[in-house]
Amino acid sequence: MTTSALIVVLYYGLVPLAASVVAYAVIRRTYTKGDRR
Amino acid sequence: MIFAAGVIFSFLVYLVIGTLVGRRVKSQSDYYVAGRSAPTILVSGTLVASFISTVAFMGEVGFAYDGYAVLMLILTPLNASGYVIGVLLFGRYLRRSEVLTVPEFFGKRFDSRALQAVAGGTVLVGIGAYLVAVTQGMSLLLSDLVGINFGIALLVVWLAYTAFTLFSGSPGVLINDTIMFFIFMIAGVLGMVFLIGEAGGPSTVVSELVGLEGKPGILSPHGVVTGPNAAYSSPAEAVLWAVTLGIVWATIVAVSPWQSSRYLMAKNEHVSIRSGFVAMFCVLFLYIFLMLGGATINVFNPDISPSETAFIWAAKNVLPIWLGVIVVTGIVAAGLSSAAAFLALIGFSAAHDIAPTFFRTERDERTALRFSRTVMLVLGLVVLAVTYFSPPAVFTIGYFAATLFAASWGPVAVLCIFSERITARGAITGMVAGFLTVFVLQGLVEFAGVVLPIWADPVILGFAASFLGIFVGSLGQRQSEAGLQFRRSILTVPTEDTEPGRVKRTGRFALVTAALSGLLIVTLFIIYFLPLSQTLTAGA
Repeated sequence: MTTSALIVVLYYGLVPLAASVVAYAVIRRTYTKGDRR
Repeated sequence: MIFAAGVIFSFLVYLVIGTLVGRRVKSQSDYYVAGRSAPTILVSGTLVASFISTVAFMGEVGFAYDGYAVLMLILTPLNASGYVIGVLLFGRYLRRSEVLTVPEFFGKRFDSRALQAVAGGTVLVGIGAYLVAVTQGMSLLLSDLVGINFGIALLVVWLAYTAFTLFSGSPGVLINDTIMFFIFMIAGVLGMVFLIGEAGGPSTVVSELVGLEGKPGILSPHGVVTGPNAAYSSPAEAVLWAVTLGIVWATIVAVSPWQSSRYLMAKNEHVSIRSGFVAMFCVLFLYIFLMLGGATINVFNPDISPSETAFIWAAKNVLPIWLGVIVVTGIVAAGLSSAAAFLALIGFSAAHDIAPTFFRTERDERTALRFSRTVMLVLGLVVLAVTYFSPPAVFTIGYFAATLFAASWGPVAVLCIFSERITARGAITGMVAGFLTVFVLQGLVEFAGVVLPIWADPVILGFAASFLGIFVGSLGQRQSEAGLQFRRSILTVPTEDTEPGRVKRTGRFALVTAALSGLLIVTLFIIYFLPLSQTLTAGA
């Protein structure tokens, strides 16, 4: 149970961390170079 | 009585603020989208406030109390990241379009008044039902707190949110939502921190809960899966449920009308994006305390029934009076803020998206404003009557109504930005197919006792029906040139939004949120993992 509990603890922070980092890249790309679609 | 006094006092504060703000409403743009001038703090406040309702403070805290606190913590990160993903995939384009309502956005994207009316119809039915559920929940709570009959409590609650919403529209909802957001954040975090402290601190709480006989495995990630009260038959089933619902709720916070419409009020699209980051973090931070605190209430009393009243029981029986009053006022604020946003939305949709399909008359600003307020009042009265006569099913209807929008709006919202192939007929067919599939199947599950396997969850089938509807409906129809032109216009970044200072500031919001994600891990590590591993090691 301790291993799965530790996974949940890490997952709880890593999901928003990943979302923020991806969003940062999208923001830099879109607003400094323009939307290229 | 002191609890009732706190709640009634808060009602009066919201009313006074609504009256003051409402005096400045002069145009439809003021009334519908607060003049598109809201800063990050107000957009973040209203995003979280319209999302968090009595469903969170009563239904989900009750679920944590029943033994599924950590399972809810598996669901929440997926759900909350919907804010950041949603604003990038949909919200910022919505803000760029400068429409007054989300159905109007769909209507313009496909150059179709029929689609605008259909989307407005889904808002009216889906959010109308959600509003009935939230109003009913708050009325039951007030009636229990004050000891008055349900009818009178319903009238007081209804007046509390209808009066300021009707008069002040979006500006009043924005400011009151933000005040309510602060109240319920303080109530949730402080109330639960006090409960954990009063129970002896995280170590004592964890060791007591690990040994709790009636709810075995209450602190395990999958929750209680054995015994007569288990909601799931195996750990895999429980985790699959959490992941599925997490994705469904991520779609809801990304595209649902009561969430995405908040971006329309933002000063510019950078404010929309920044608000997405703030909302994601606030929801994640609040849920740590709501869920683990909900489980902690078992230390004081493991037999509260119904479990939805667990936090209120704790506010009355464990917390000091001053904090109990804040908690009860916060719970009511959570419900009231959602109710105000829902009433505004159904009023706006009926007046702006549906009525013009039937009455094609030109109105000046003042007449249009008066018409919007009249429509909102009539709909408010309908909600009052339906709530009075409908049987209690607060959380069932709440969850049910919310999930309708994931399948109905999700695929159309994303594809209308990223695909040129989808047509007006495809969008209507997809929206209706998703809505009806979830409506019928979820209705059979909730009210007729039909059991579906996890993989055949109504929302998953609703997504499939919506995609199929879009594909089949788009066959053989040409895209409208005006619709394609509108799409091209929203794909162009406004020049002022490429200003380096503005971009740098938004980038900083992303980086700070990334850093704060570490704080979430540390908090959970200290109050959950560390005490749990120590207890299990000591018991081994």
